[in-house]
Amino acid sequence: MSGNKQNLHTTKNQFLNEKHTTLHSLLTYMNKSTDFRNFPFQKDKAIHVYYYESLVDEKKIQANIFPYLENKKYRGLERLSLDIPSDNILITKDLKIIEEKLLSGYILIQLTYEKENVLLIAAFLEHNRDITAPEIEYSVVGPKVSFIEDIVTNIHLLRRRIKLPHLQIKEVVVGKITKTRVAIVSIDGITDMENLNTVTQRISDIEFDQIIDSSFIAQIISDNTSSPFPGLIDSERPDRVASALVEGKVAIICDGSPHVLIGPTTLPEFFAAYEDYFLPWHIATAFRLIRLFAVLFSVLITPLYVAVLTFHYQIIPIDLLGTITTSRKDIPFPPILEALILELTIELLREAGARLPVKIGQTIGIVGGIVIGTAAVEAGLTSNVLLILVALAALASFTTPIYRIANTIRLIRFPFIIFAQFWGLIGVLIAFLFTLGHLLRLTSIGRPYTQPLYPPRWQDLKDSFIRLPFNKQTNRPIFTRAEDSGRMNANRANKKRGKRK
Amino acid sequence: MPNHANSDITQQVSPFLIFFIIHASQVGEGVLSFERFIAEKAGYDSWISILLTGIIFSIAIFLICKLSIRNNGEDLIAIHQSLFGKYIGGFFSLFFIAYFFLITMTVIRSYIEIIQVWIFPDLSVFLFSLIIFILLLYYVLGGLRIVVGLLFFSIFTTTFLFSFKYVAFTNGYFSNLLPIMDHSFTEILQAVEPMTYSFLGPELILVYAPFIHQFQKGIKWAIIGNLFTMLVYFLSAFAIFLYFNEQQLLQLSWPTLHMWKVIDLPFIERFEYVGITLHFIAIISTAAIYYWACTQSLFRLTGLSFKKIATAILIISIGFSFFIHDFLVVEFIMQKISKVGFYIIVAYFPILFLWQSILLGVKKK
Repeated sequence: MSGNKQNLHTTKNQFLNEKHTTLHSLLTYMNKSTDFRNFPFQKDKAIHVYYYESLVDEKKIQANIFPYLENKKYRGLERLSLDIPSDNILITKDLKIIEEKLLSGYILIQLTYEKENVLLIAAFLEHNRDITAPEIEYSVVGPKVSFIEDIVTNIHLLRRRIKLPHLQIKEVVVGKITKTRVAIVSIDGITDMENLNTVTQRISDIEFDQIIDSSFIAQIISDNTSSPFPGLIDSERPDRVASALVEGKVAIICDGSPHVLIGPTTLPEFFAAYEDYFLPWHIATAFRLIRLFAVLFSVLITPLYVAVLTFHYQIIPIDLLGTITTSRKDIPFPPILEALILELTIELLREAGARLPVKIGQTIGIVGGIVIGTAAVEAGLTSNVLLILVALAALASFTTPIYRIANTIRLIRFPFIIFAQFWGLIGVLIAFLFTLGHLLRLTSIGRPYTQPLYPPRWQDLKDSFIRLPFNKQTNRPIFTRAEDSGRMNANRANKKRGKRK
Repeated sequence: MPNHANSDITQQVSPFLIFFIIHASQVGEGVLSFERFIAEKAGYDSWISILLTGIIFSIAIFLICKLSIRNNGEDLIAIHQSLFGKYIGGFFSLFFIAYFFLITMTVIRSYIEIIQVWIFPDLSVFLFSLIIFILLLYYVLGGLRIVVGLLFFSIFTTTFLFSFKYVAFTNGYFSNLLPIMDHSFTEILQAVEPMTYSFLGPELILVYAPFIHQFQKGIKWAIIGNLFTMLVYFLSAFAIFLYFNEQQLLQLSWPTLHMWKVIDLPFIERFEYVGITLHFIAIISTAAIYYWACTQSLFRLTGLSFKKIATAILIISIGFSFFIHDFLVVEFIMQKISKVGFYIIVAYFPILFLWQSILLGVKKK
């Protein structure tokens, strides 16, 4: 048994441990792939060039590098490197570096007379889409820029917004096979070192073989990996991420992902759209409260319907009871079945809409929403009161600015419905208390998830479910444990001039 | 996983949260029914007994906090050990553990009775208490911080429910209270004892004291929490006395629930269903803190794994609710516990305090 285990251990990822001992064997191995190019220059084949045509901009090298190789005789690589007009150039004999550079878009030049050292010249082929407007976190007012799949562009977008040398990037390569570049961004002097160290440690200890997207990282490093609630916020808005960095949070950028992770985070932040900061504070507060209401409504309304109609019809006022009885009098199912059928229909429509191409998706929405909904009511399978409630609940779940939490909200409704069927209102309460207990136990990078509600931080409440004006936000949030906690000195702000009395 | 043995900063709560812990552990099932018990003894003059009990408890809280502070902020187990030695002290601690356990049980069981009487006459006690205890276990295993979180949120619901007592002030009769002081002082003193059951909770301070950051600062919050409870009870009793006359009150098991019946909201016809549901949060939080205290004390006493102890208590509780069907037995236990709690507060802790003072005096010499 133990011998078997040992065996497993050695066979796992064994091919990665095969080291090429000579440059020659490495290059012959790479040459097995058909996109690897290798050809000599000059009559006596004094110079050899190797590169991956899929990674290198061939036009660039034909114009800028090859002319220097064709005629002139070089004594050594040093001499050659001086001639070539490129700054990203290095001479090395380290096989590990050679392998890494070749795979990231360098070309390799070897002289027949100087077998040991080789010359590496950068000639990256860049294929990036343009920076576009955010799609998931769209805002009507405010900047219309979103991150793209390229890590360098993403860092560029952040540096454009935070013009400080203190903005520090720490790059780690994770994923044994994908070798994904991951940048951990923080501001020296603001970000808490403990948070930064926790994030760095967790990311560098990732053992998974492929890191395709930042959500892989989020799932692997979050504190409770089996929680339905997201442990880190993912945002596609550079303004949101820059603002989070200034508040003392840590950002994680993953190459190949247009979503940047922010942590530590708290539950109220998932209900704060970045657009709230572009609006006057009372309007923003009203919007945030509407979102909070929407979430509670979305989670609770169907369970309450089931609970009240199954057990406590006495609660309903007499006039409303008439309306509900009329709409339900031909329904052959108990409320629980009625509710589950409708909830499942909505989930089906949403899932179909999300998988289909945009134009067909819209048709499906109309067919599903209007035709099936009306037909179900007319056929007497569901009551139209419940149809209204379920549709509203589905709508309400999409008011959250961060898409990830909308999924959570839609799914935690089902245990609530089942509890409601068992013990009515008390069942709903028990389900709620289980959720509350779970939220209280959750942490994000070691910081409590329910802050600033519990543990109560009165000071942080002014930017949570409500948002007070900027001149009241004199301190950074407590939960990020920012090393420099002050945002501004309110006493030093000058009075506005030119105000008419 | 929380570390239950060492109360380092990540396990501690702020001193002002004692306000919430005290208030939430006091307000439980008692607030729905205490008016009848005190009116039995001292009629409509028993509001004086509420104030009296509140003051007695404030003094007791002060003594309890001092007990802990004079012993370097340690908990009950350590205090017992240092005052009575390992074995006798351990015996006293065991007694407290049984007391905490019985309170957890009776609080949950008596609320199940309310649910059976008012909402679900054929509720399966076994299945329901199983779910409730699993819920409690989930909170307790999270450590004190999580339990206190529940207590913190429960205050908002109980205060919200308390605000509905306003109907008594609009519909009640002030003449009910007259004549004032037609009961003797001994009768008023007698009403203190049944009142104690609703005030129990501060004895837990000695279990969670090591988990309070800067415990010394918490004393004032503990006393304020207790006075807030007193105010809530006082206004509750006042409202009930205004609304029901004395003869009627003695017939009602849960006067508050009867009063909720008259609340008339445009979208809720029978408020007592909503009220009983929301008040369940207060019950769960009271039970949770006692459950935690029971587990924590046993953990400190025996050194076994916290998780195993909590699970064992869960199994015993389920067994308990499986075998005791008769609510009269539960009510009997409840009355006895109430008495025990009364003597713990007015006799045991003062004696413990004196004994500690004597020992400290001897040590100084």
